[in-house]
Amino acid sequence: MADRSTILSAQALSIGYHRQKGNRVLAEQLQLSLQTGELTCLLGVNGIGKSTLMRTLAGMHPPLAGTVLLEHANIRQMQPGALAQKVSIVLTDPVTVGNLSVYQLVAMGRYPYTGWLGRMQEEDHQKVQWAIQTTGITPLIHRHLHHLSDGERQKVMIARALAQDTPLIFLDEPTAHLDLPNRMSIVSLLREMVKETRKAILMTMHDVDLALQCADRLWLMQDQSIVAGVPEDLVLQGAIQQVFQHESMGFDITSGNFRLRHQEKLSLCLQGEGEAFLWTRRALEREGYTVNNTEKGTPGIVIPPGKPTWHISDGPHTGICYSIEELLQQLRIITSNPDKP
Amino acid sequence: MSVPTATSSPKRLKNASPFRQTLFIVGLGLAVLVFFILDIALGSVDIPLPAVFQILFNQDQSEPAWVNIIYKIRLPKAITALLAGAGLSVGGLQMQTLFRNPLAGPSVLGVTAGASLGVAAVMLTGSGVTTLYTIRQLGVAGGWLLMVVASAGAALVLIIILLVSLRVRDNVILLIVGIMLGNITLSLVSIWQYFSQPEQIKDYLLWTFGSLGGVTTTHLFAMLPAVAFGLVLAFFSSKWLNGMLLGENYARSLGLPVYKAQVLIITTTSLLAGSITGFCGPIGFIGIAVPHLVRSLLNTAEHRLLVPGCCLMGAFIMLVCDLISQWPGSTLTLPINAITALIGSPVVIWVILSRNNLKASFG
Repeated sequence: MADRSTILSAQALSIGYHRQKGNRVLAEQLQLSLQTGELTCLLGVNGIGKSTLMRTLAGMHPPLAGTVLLEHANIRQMQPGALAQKVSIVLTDPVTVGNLSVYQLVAMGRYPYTGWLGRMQEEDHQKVQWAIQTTGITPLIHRHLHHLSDGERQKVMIARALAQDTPLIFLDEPTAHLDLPNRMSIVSLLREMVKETRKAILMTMHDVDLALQCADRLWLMQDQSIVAGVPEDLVLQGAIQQVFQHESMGFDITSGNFRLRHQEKLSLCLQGEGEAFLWTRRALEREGYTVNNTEKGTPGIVIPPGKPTWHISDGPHTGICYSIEELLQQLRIITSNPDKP
Repeated sequence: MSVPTATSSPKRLKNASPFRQTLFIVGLGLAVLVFFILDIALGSVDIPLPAVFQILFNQDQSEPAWVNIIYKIRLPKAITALLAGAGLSVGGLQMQTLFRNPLAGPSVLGVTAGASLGVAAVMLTGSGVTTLYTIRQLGVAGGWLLMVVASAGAALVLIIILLVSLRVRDNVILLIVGIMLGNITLSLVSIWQYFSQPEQIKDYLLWTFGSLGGVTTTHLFAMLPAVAFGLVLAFFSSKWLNGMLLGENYARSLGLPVYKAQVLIITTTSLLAGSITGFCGPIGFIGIAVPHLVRSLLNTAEHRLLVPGCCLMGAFIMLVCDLISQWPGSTLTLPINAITALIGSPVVIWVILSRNNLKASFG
C-alpha cells in the first residue's frame, strides 16, 4: 500500500456566490488538502457553507477566488468526462425517478467510461456488481427506486458513486434521515472503503459523536474559515466545543458527547461503580442535579455492589429504591420539601 | 463486511425483464405495420386489400384512379401519421425528462404555441403572397419555409423557458411559466388575426384544426428528413437523457456536458415539434400521453428503450386516430386534433388508474 498522498488541495480558496450587489462570501483564504486512504468529516452548523464548499471542491461550483487542484490540475479546467473519472459525489438532492431499477441507477455510475450510447462492457458490469455487493444492496437490485426506504436509497446512491470507481468521493450528509443501525452501517462501510481501496472520502455530517469516532481528520467550519486536524487534537484544543457552542448544550470531554445542559437544581452525592453508576448519573443529570462523589452532607445515594439498588440518605432519613424511576420519585419528594427535618 | 474483488462475483446480476420489453417492442412494431397497411387500405373509396398490395408492390396500373388515391393521398397521409406520432411522442418524452415533470409536453410548454406564432407570421402577413394555398403551391421550398418558421417559433419559446430555468430551479414554476408563455404567444396570434384579411384567417384557422391529409408527397420530402433527423438525434442523446433524470447536479458529476445536453434536447424537440406542427397543425395530447403510456407499459426509465418505444407507440396511436377520423365508408373527415384527445385521454386515464404508477415517474 502506498503512503498517504495528497489527491486534492485548495489554495487561497474563497467560496460563495456572485451577487449583483457584492459577493456573498461563505469562507475565505482556505488552505485545505485531502489525502488518499483518509476519511475526512466536514462539520459545521447549518447554513455555514458546507455543501457549497463541497460542491466547489468537486468542481461543480465556481470559486470566488483561489484554485482547487486535483492531482496538480486545476479542477475548473478539466473536461467533465475526465473529472467524472476522478471525483464522484453523493448529494442531498432528492432523486425521484420512477420506473428506474436499482441496477440501472448503479450502472449509471459507469457513464464516464462508456460510449455515446452508454453501452456497458464486461468490465463495467463487474464494477457495478462489485459496488452492489460491497454496499450490501444485492436484494434490492430489481426493485424500483421509488419503492425504497430512505436508508436503502442512500445506500444505492453510495453504490452508484462506488461504481464510478473514482479515487475521490464526496458525500453530502450521507447519514441524514437514517436510523442508528443504518447510520452505523454506512459509516463503517465508508471506513472500510477508505482503508481497503485507498480512496479519499470527504463527507459532511451533523452527528459529532459519529464523526469523532470514524473520521481520520476533521474539518471544522466556522466564521468563514476552517480548522483542520485529527479529531482528538481538536477536542483537546477546545475547537469542537467552540464550533457547536449553544446555551442549551455542553460538550462532555470525558465521553466525547454533547449533552443537553439542564438547569441545575441541587447537588447530590452519588457513590457506586459500574454501569449502574453511569446510568444513574445520566438520569440524575437529566433531572437537573449536579452529581459529585466526594461531598458529604447533601442527599446521598449509594449503589452497593451486586443487584442494583439505591440507598438514599438525607440527614436522618434513609430509604431503599429498586429502580431509577423510584429513586427519582423519592428525590422529587425530598427536594420539594427542603424544610423537612 | 469485506470488499470482494471485482472478478469474484458469484452470479450475474442482470437487469430485470429484458424479454418482456423486447416482446413489447416487437409486438408494437407489428401493430404499427398492420395499422399502416390498414390506414392505406381503408378510406372513403373502397379499394380491395389485394389490389392495395398489388399497387404498392407491383406497380399495377390497371386502375389509375386507385393508383392515384393510394400514391397521392393515402400513402403520404399514412407516412405523415407515422412521422407525426413518432416525432411528437419523442418530443414529449424529451420535455418530460428535461424538466423532470410529468405534465411537460410540447403543447403544454408553449412549444406548439410558438410554432403557431411562426406559422401565423407567415400566413397572416399582409403581403398576401404567402397564404396556405400559395405555400402548398410552392412545394418543397414552401414546405421548408413553413417548417423553418414553425421550428423557429417553437425554439423561441423553448429558449425563453431555458433562460428562465437558469434562474428558477422549481419545475412547477417553470411549467407555469411555460403555460403563460404559450398564452402570451397565442394572444399575439389573436391580435394578429384581428388585423388580418378574412381569407388569411380562414387559412390559419384550418391549419389550427390539425390535418394529416394536407401534407403532399412534395412536403414529405421536407418533413421526412427533418423528423428522421430529430428522432435519430433523440436516440443518440439517450445516455444524456438518462443522466438528466437524476437532476442537473448528478448529471454533471457523471461527466455529462449538461449545458450541451440541454441545448441538444431543446433543439431536437423544436425541430420535431416545429416541423410536425408546421405541416399538420397543432396536434395535442400525443406528446404528453404517449411517453407515460410507454414508461408505464415498459416499466423502465431507460431512454434507449423509451425512445424507440415512444416512436412505435406514437405512430400506432396516430394511425388508429387517423383511421377513426376518416371512418371507413364515410366521406366525412374529422379534425385529427379532436380525435387524438377524444380517443387518447380515456386510454391514458385507464392506464394511470389501473397501474397507478404515473406519479412514481417523477415523484
